[in-house]
Amino acid sequence: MDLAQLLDTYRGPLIGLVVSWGASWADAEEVAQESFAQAWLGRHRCRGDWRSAEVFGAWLRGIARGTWRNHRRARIRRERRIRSSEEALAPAIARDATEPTEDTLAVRRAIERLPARSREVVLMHHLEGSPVADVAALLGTTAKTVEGRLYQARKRLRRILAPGGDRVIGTGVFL
Amino acid sequence: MSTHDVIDQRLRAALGDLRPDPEAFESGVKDRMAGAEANDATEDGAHAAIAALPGWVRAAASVLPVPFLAGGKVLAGAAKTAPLSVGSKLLGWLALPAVAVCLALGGFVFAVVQTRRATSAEAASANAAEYKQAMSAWMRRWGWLAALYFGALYVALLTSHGGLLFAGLVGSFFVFAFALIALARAGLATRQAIGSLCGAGFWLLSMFFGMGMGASATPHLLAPALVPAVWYLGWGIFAAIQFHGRSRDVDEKTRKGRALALCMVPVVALLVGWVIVPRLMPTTAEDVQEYVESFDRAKHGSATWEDWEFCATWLRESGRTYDERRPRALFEATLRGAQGPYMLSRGMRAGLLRPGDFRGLRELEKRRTHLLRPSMTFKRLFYTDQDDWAVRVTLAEGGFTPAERAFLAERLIADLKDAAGDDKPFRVLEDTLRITQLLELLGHPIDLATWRPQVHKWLEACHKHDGSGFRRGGGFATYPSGAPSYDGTYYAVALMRIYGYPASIDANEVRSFLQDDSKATTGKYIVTITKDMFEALPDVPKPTFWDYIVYERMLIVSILLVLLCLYAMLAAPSIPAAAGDAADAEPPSM
Repeated sequence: MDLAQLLDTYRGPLIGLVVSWGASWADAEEVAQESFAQAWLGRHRCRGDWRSAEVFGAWLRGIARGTWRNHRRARIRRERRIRSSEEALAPAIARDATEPTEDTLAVRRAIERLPARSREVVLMHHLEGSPVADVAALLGTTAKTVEGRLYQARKRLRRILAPGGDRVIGTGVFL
Repeated sequence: MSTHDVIDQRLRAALGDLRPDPEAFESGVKDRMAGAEANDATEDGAHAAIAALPGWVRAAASVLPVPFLAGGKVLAGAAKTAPLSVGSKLLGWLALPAVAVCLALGGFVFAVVQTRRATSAEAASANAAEYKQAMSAWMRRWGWLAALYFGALYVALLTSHGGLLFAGLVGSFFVFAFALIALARAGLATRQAIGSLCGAGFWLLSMFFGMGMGASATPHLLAPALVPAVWYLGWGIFAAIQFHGRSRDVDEKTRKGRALALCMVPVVALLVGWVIVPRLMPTTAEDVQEYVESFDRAKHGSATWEDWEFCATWLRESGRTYDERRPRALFEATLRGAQGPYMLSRGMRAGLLRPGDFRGLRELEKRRTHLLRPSMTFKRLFYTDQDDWAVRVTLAEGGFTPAERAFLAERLIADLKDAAGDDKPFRVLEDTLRITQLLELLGHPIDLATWRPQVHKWLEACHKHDGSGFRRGGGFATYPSGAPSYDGTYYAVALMRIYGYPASIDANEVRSFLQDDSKATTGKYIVTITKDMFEALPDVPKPTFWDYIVYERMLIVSILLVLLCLYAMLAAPSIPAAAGDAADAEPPSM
């Protein structure tokens, strides 16, 4: 498995995962890039065979968690010295330049309303339509578990998005 | 289409705009990998280099701002101490006080500014944040301990208890210097950073000693000003090397800074010359004579007259003649004025009070009556120095019958006996000297064999091993519970000329006290004449070569430290021309 394949496999799930931890989309992309770089360069220090999806997924998730913690701490302590978030947001804003439809906004608010575990798998799976197995590998769990969470998430979303559904109070993921 | 499919479709549509661009994402990852690989190459080398250092150096490195020293190419946590023994850690951590001194009072700012100037403008701007971060991290971790030590040292020196702390500081500097050498050889400290840190430390130490703050902590047989002179010299060498090292390819800002620095040179030279050079020039007999002859103002009244009397008496005893017109004119003003008894006593002893003046002494008859009045309860005179002039004037006029002289001698001896029975006699050295002199004049010389043990006991009680404030130990106080002073030491040495030198007193301690480091005051004349009197004592042992080694340890240590730091600086590579370009670092030149 080469770097390009790993990127294709885990890019979407990883960004979704970091967003579910509370990162902005721009920060999540940065953290994901940094995590991929570190994971790839340090793959030989990985315990077990890094070519295995489970091993590499756990390895990548651990690095991403540490990178996100450092990123967040660094932002708090050295806000002026790190790369400005506005700078990092620029590409995302450019991609998101088109006015979102009413349905898009409704769905995004509905995702924010989901329980943490459900929101996590929804973001990981649906950002790029990644296979459930890849999401499971990154979460260190089974595909069945991920499917179960997705099922629960869909049910919840259907209820929320139904006319007269639950009133949505956002968590801020899409703000 | 199932309801689940509909939801999935809506979800994909809602998140579609947020999907990352795969190519941009991959490009970003590759950029980060390229940067990380470049850093890893440097850090791996730095980690390996640190790991190869001796344990105590690694411990010392943990308290040093290593990323700053290394020009920002080493991570702050590179110096790990976890696998080291307690002994290695303690030895290495000894460097902390020296680092604190180097970084205290602006040393940090000095170092950063110096290093920034030492690099090219681009390198400076790129590295400045890393330096700042490294120094901030150091301050966060060790700043409180450094401040605590520095404060304790400052207070201890002011209260004359700094000997041990100061010895610790010197030891710390040695650990610091050897650690710097080890780091320099391993390429983990840049020439500019070492120069900046050591230069700041030397500058502070030179100020420290130059102002006499270290005086009470360190004994000397040679001029104490040699120590700050060495520190100043060290700072000058470090500054010159750094100045020379950045002579090429400088920008306009650096050129302006250099011009400003050159303008400062005469100012600094003047200050150094004002503080240090006078202290290296010994006070001569001619200087004393000039002081005696030019005496036309008694700033502190009787105390100033006392200094003058010491010097005038010494000149007379040395067979030197001096022009006393100006001091005489001043003394005449005193005669026309209040005619204070202390002033009259000093004038009489120094020869300023002449027979022609005797008739005008308003208190003479009153004092004579007091001197010869038999007391029902005690025989003492009590105020010997106040009555000294009356006794001398009366004797000069040929007064006092033999019986009166015997009576007066008895009263003076009663004073001595009373002081002998007192645990803390006041101004005992001065009174003993005056009583001894008066007894001689009265024709009833003191029995030296009887009184020698008692006078030696007083001398020992008044000899102070510890200093006080800005004054070294080794001198004598005028009374047992007092602090060492120049006048106390003068009286002690004058008594030694009569009663002999007590073998229990360390002559080198007295010599150390009598080092001329008070150029701004008349104390320099008192020191000079007292030293001359002391060295002329027949029983005083001369200092040996070993004595010089022991008493000049601070000077020797200062020279060694400057040389060690110089070696460390020259052994270190220069900062690379461009930020992060560690490969371009010059190889060690030593």
